[in-house]
Amino acid sequence: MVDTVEAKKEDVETGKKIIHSHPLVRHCDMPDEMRNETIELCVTACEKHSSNNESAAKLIKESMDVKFGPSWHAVVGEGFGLEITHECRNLLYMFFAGNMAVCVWKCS
Amino acid sequence: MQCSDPIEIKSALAQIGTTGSEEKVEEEEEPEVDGEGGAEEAPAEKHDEPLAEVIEKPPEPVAPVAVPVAISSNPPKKLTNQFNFCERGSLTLNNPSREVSTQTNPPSRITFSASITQWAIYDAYMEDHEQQEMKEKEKKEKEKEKATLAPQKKEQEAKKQEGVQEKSKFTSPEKAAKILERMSNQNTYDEIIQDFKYWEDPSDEFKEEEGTLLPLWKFSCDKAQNYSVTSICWNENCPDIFVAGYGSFDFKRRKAGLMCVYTMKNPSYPEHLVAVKSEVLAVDIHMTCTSLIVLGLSDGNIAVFDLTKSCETPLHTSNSVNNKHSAAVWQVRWSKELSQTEMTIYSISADGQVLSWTLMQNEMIKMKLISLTFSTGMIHSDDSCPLTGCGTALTFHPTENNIFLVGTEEGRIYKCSTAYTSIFLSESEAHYMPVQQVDFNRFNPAVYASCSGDWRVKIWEDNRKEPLFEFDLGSPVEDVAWAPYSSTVLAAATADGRVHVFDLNVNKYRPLCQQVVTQKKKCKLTKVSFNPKHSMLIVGDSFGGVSSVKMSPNLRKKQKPPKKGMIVDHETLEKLKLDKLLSLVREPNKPLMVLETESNAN
Repeated sequence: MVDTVEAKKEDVETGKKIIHSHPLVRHCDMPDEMRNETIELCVTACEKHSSNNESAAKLIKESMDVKFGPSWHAVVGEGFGLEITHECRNLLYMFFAGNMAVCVWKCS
Repeated sequence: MQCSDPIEIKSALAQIGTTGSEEKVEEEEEPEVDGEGGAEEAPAEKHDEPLAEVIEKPPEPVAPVAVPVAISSNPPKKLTNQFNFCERGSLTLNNPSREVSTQTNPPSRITFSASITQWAIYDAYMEDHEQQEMKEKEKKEKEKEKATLAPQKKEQEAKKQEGVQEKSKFTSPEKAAKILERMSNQNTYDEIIQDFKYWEDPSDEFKEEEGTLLPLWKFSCDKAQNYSVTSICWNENCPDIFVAGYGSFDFKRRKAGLMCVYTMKNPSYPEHLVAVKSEVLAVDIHMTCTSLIVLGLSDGNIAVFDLTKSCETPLHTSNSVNNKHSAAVWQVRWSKELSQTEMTIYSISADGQVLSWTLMQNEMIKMKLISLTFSTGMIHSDDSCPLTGCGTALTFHPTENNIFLVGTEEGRIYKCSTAYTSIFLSESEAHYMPVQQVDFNRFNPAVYASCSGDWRVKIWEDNRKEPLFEFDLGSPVEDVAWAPYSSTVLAAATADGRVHVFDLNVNKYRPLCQQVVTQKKKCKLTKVSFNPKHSMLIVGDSFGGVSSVKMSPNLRKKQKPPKKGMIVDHETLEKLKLDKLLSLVREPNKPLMVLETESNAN
């Protein structure tokens, strides 16, 4: 479940609140290399556009299109429900920074 | 101008060649012409005209030299110029075109759904955090364990290797094969199974005092074809399993013996097959630990097998030299005393000894229990040794574990106790021929039955010298057994292949059923036994087959409870029934003897 161990634990007020900001993959369908690249890409995008979800998603989508082929879709947000159809072995759904969720899938 | 008058131009050109010299001549002549006079003016004028023409024309023909000239009039001088070309066209072969189209499968797609909320994210992180912590703890513990527990683990492994090699539980292909074998058997014998479960002979309602036996499965084994069934015993815990011992009653040929464990679920092959060196004459299954089977052999030995461990080697066997009977062992019984540390076996043999064997860890200890000596008729000889009888039957009292009955070849029945080694509790002259079997009634142990080769089945009660009932069956009776469900039903197997079932409550004089169970004419029945749970009998015969028959309803009548309110359990009812019957039969002073003299020759 955990790839990169970038565990930043901020113990606030005698350690009650532990904020994790490492990427936590919830569901992943991809082959390993693809997955690692995608995770890194998502993390980069989210950190770069931490205030703007749309531009983060745009960055993710366009980079994925270039790397892995056309028709990727990316959703970045804090609260949503989703029902998607994706091509097999082309889905990543992960949490990041304690309150951000990213879902990336391919479907042409 | 150039192309229009080719002839004129030719002539012009021709004249050029001539007039060129003429011009010179004429130029020379002109001054002469002028000098001479006008007589020559006319030819000069003639010359002038063509000269003028020529003079006018020479620049023309000189300048356009590139003038196409017709070939026809020309002499064979070849004109070469770069503008000579000819057109030639041809058509190459076009490859025929073909359309090929294909459609690939679209990349497979799956639907995915999720919902993301702030608390779900938080929970996921918390869970992940906990898992990480667990992993770290485990790692630390493992490191500690490796340091300390390494020596202990080695000890455990060594113990496992040293331990007794138990028969391993079925590996999965064996297990699967076993299940399949049972399935296919049950499919093949489906009708029999349905009959076994559900068939009730409807004609029994009309025949009050008759019953029938419906043949069910026949259990046989290829190896057992040459043997007779010498003993059968049901497994109390699993009422579909029974053990059959194979040997022969023909003492001329000594063969190896066989013991098979059959289950009703697989009638075509025994579950376990045990080969022993000598013929098996007696089997008994331990009542609680039902994998322990004791065999009595015709060479006087006793062997105990544990089916969970090995079918090949016995768990215990009596030593062939000292520690055995000196003649064939006719009957073995497990002791009913439930003792966890020791198990005891009692055996009776033709050498007249009843021995008790105690099973310890590694060996069997023999203890002489009683010796069947004749109390009367000592041979007067110098040594004055007592005559000993040959024991043939042994059975234990159902409730009191110390008391047992012994039947002998001389036709006597002794009642003995394990406490007394030389005294019999009672003794009776029962039969004229060897007593083949004695059996206690389950509900009233004071009543017991005996059968013998003198064609008779006799039913006795304690403390009576004369039997309560006596039946003559027309042929040597090999085995008799009381039913487990009724106090008045018993079955007997005779050497003419018949099974006789009596219900003393219904008919005191005649059997309810006399039926030939075997198919071959010369086949003798050797053993009969009731299934403890189902309404079924198994019968062993002298050709190595065990037949099972189902009893019709008339043969299995159970006592109905009285209508008025009182809830009485089955056992008490049966006891009451038997008591009632006995009181009818007994007279206080004179015992009643019922002789059955006629026999059906069917």
